[in-house]
Amino acid sequence: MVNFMQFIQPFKSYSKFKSYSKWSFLWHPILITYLASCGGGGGSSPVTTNNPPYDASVITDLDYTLGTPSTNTDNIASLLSSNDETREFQLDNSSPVYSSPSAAHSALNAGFDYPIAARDTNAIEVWQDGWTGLGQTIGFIDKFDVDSGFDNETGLITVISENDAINSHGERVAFVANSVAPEADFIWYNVIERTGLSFEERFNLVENASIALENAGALIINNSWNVLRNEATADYSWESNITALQNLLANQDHIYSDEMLFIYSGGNIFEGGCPFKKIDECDVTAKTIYENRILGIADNRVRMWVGSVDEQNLITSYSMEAGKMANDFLVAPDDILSAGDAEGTSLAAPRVSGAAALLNQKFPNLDGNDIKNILLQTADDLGQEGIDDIYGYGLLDLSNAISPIGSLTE
Amino acid sequence: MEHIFFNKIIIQMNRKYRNLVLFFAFIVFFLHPAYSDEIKLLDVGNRYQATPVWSGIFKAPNDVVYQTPHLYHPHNTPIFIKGYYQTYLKNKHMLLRIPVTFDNGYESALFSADPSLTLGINLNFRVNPSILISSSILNFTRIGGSIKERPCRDSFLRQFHCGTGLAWVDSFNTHIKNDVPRKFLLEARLLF
Repeated sequence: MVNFMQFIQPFKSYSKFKSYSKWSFLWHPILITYLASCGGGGGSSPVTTNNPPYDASVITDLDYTLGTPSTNTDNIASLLSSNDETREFQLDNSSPVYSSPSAAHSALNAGFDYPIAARDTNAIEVWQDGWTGLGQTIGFIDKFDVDSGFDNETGLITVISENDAINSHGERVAFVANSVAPEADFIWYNVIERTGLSFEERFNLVENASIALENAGALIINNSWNVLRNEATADYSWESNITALQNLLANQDHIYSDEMLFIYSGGNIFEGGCPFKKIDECDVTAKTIYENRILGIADNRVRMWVGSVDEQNLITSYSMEAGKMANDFLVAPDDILSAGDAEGTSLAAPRVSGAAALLNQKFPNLDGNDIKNILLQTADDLGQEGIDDIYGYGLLDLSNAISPIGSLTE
Repeated sequence: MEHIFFNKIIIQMNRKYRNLVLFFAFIVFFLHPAYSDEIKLLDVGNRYQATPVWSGIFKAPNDVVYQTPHLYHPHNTPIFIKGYYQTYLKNKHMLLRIPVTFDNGYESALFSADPSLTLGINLNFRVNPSILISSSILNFTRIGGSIKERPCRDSFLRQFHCGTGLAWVDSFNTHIKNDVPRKFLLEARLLF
């Protein structure tokens, strides 16, 4: 297992900022102001109650399952410190190459202490009490441009060179998840080799990746590189692929742990030329799961999809919409460092993956289905009131997700 | 040492039995004529006063206000009795007063407190007709009164502290404690 912090952590810089840059005087007062505004404000004052109704109920001792917070919160900035400032960072393939993640941050994200995903998800608020993703493992099935380090047996990437630039799709996706869950462990499966493969071979590639990541301890699987999507949409040969996928799923004997949650990017309309906007019209996996549900066929894993929104919280022009998968769909922003610096639902999904890691650390009693439902039910409603076929449940909101849901009982 | 000894005995008692014993001890203490230079009953009521109790109304991290007062409503009938015993020493140059508070505890879904007996000491010494020195130790000792808080659960069985709105695991520093602040007061009065 590889700790993502050891190779990509973008902001080692923060500890360095403290010593030499303008950031050193910026983050302190901001953090202090933030803590002052958040700390302890929510509690009711103890009061003495009077004249109670009598009820002879019995108090029983409960078996509590508690999460383990990080103790690395005295200096929250250090959560984002990196052990690897030697790696170059490139925002996208046409952007300048920066000498390090912190150099990119200084140049592209001026005025902010944390990358935008930490802010737009309210993750910073969750970190205050030590919920940083510590002890959680997120697996990434994606395209990684790395020079070496494949484990032929497991398919996992095990080593990434310190001299290998952060410049591939998968690394940027992981960068965003790291911005939300800075102390989570990350593991990767590279699915770059997919040209020339049959549909079944692609399916098996993804399944092998998922099983390998599960075996490596990942409970949250981020799929921002959907191997099956384009195949389904390129020639509109829907039905054959849906049938094929239904058969492959039906014949698959592996049942994933119910603690796992598979998070898929909703997909972008410029991928594969799908002329529609709904994921059940352009994503063969989503369409197949939908068809299977109608047939009463259970899925062998818990899945959800993530679309992307712009700074006005409007669905982006390129994001797939919820469609008939509205009950499994929410949206999140899709920037990397600062507003408007990137686009694509690939960068929305890792926000949800990071959020799931924080939830799982804080509330270890939750399984994958619980985490999915909490993230959905606590999303901020967007678009038409209630669940709709564009935004699904709405915008990811970690403040809501860590707050109680439903009625409270003893 | 004495405090610990009594606490151990009290803890070992069955709660119901302990309640009765404490109440009985309190009554004997106040009514026994052998000790009664002067006894005064200051206040009696059906409230729990030993510590605060959460209202059950809190604001969660998402700023939503939750109403759970029913989880802190007592199942028992709380009773408190306050009074003191006083006696004159050294030819009435010295007055010893022992404030006493008995509380029969609190039982609710999320908060429970054992019965408690709280004692203080107050000593008044008249140096001469115009100078009075008074020293007090408020809440000198408390016997019993241990407190237990429990989490509430939301619809996903996640544990929260319904007094503060924090996740249960984040709430431990906010729990109500039985440690009554002990205060020492020294006062000199000039009488004209």
